[in-house]
Amino acid sequence: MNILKANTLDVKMEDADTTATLNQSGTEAPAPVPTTTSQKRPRDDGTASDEDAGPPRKKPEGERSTTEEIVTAPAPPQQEQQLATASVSAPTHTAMDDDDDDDLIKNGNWVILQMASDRSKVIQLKKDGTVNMGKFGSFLVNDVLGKPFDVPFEVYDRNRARLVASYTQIAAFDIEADDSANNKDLVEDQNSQQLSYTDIEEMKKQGLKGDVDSQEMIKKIIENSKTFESKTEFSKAKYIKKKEKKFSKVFTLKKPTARALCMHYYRTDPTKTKELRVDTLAQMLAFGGVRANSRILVSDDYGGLVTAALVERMGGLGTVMALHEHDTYNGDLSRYLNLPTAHDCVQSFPWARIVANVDESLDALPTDLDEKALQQRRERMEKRIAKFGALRENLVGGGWDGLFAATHFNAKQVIQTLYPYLSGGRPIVVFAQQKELLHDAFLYMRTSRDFVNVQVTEGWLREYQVPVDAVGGTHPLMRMPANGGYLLSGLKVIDCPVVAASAREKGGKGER
Amino acid sequence: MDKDVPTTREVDPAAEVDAAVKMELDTPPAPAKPAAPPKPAAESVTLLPTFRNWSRYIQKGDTVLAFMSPSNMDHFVVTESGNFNNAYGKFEHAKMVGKEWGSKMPSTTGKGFIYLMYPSPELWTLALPHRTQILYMPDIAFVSSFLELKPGVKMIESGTGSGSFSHSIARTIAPTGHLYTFEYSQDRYQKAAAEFKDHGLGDLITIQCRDVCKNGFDMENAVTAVFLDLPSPWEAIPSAKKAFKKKRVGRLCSFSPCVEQVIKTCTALKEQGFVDIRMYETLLKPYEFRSLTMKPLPQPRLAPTPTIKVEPSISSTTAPDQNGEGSNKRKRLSKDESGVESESKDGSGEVYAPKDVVVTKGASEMRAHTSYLTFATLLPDIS
Repeated sequence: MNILKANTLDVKMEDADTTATLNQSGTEAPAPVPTTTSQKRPRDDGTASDEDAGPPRKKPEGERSTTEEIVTAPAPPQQEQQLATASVSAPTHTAMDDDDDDDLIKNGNWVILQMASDRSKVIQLKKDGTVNMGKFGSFLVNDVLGKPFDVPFEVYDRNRARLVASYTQIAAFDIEADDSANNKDLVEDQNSQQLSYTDIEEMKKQGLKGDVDSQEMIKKIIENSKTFESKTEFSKAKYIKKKEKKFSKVFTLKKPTARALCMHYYRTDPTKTKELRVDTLAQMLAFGGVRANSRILVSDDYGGLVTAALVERMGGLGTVMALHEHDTYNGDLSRYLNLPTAHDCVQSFPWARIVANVDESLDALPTDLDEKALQQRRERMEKRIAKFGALRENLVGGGWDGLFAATHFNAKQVIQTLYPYLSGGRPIVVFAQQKELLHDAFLYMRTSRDFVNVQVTEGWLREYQVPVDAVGGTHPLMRMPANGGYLLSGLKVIDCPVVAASAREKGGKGER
Repeated sequence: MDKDVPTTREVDPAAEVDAAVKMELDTPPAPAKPAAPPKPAAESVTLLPTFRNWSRYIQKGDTVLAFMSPSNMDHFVVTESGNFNNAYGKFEHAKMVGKEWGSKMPSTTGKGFIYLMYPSPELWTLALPHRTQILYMPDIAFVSSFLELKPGVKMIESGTGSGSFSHSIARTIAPTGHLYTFEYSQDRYQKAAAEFKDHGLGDLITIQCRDVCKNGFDMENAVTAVFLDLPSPWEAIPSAKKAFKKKRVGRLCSFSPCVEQVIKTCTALKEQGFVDIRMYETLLKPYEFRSLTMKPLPQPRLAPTPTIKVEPSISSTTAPDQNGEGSNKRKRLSKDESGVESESKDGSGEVYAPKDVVVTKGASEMRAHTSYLTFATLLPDIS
């Protein structure tokens, strides 16, 4: 998604989700600070000390200021970008350990904006911009830069944001335990709430303006509920939680880790990630033995979530070669990890280029061009030959430590094409939304002498309600998804001839 | 398992899957495998840190994971002139040196074989000596994900137990993270400490013998993740809270088999100010794939025909004589045996032939419960 649209100078909050339903407002702020967009980001020049001992994520420059850019993007030819003269000074951030830089929100970071009603959106935060959350209000980006991810903020003064004073909202309420209260006399009707619809709407408006505290609003609603007192403790707590979800102006900027992204998309847009559920994704990383400083192959056509998870679990150390369908690679979700450029360890390689194409042959250069044009063509072709030649050599050279696939291509063909380049003993893991897509590959791997420990598994995940906010019991949630996808996994082995006859006679002793 | 390409008959690749499931299930809480006596050191060898990184070739001093089947694995260290012996034969260490990981190795007689596998934490979990009930892959995977483990993370684990999860953590947080693990039992502490050292994980893991419920972790402002596998985890929550880095988000997981433990833990977490408390169960369902034949309905004999003597198929030797036709009863026919009779028609005239279908179904048994996983978050001190 190209956020540097050529003609706009407004700071538009780019919405990563194509199914956007929330309003995005632009402000009349000065030109935005450029941030990087391309998947292949240029390497920072100051990172020669990447190999130093120490946490892999530490930026050598020790960059802290939130007004500086994080990465140097190629300056787009259309615009001259200038640092904004913000009217709001950048807030100071809390002091943290040296290796904690990636837990503070920086300009240009992607975040998962979590609002009170359990709604969430993936957005990019740009300095001097404003994020509009619809009925939940809006806030200035500058107010959150430098603050930690995953902590709750509240909106005040119409569009300002600050960290909430206390993390437990419900503690503000004083529900006197009344053992005699039960739902025996409860009558469900529309007249239970004495405040009229217009009263409530007015309160909401005032709340957004900052005139009425959300806690006060909820308290008022409760006071005007005829039935509230006679609800059971459990129902009261449920009622309050429901109102909180509707009125609260608390939001959280969650760090877009692979897990958080997986859960977000599974809930809000499962077709994008083909219902890859968080337990299945975790199992892919486990079956696949993912670790730093290894070399892995991935074929990921489902939004880039698997690739993102692999890169994250490797800490950006090592190599991920991503085989892809078209000429240009779209890392998609991988961008949202906010990885520093030094940890961009993905090498993309089109499937069609595993063998040299006709446009990589100098002999195929047309001869009927003038010298200049011919020279240009030759230079472009030489670049192409060098680029794809290097990738090809890297792939075919072997020594790869794992093969991962979440692909709309034929799984058996993917495995047959790539497994020769794996070292021995290494894992193969294939994800599919429907297990029928794994049939051929499974039978192929099972009957082949080149794989062992081949199995197809499905995850079963169930969440429980535990007695924390609700004065209620411990029991599974009432609804759960029925599909999280399937995994085919196995290990590559290196066959050798064995005195087969007698081994078979022993009923498969050792031969399986 | 029959390695032949599946024919139209029912094949049984399920045997291996069943075995895999049974392997997962057959370890009761009491130590199923008595701790193997230390292998007689025929000779000393410098242990290599095999577990630290993938490598290409087996060398003297490497720990090898001997893979016989999904339900049968073992491990040994490659020495100068030692042997690995099991039901499949004798396997000379000297012949292993220089082989690639994953190599199939014949026994000295050539009649049996094993696979020489790299000891990934996943395989180690299935082969390690059980000193306690251990964590298996689905829980390890889920917890690693929810605690956001990755290179550089510093984490607490208590108790260490048999080191199943510890090996996985060490691999995941390497090369710059650190695992602080605590074990209450002196004996298990010593065994685990020796194992971590032998496996080359000593710089990634610090193990202490400590009763963390009574005496806490004695750590402050140090970690971002805590994993508790204790009988009374609520007793360790206050000390765990102190161990978290003050200015960072901290994630905690408590692994308990009983709901009563979960409830007490959640109460303690709430009292200590943890938020976003959630609890899950995660399990793995294995599938079996087969190729089956869907048979067309038996057709009436509309004209007198000589009885066809066919080989009794497996399914009919023990089947009762349902049609009561004695020696004339029609046996199960497949395409191979006769052409015309294998097809049949329905009322509309549509023709049905025997049809090969690749089918899947859940395995006959699966693990139903390991433990409940309770997660909670400690938000940073923002003052």
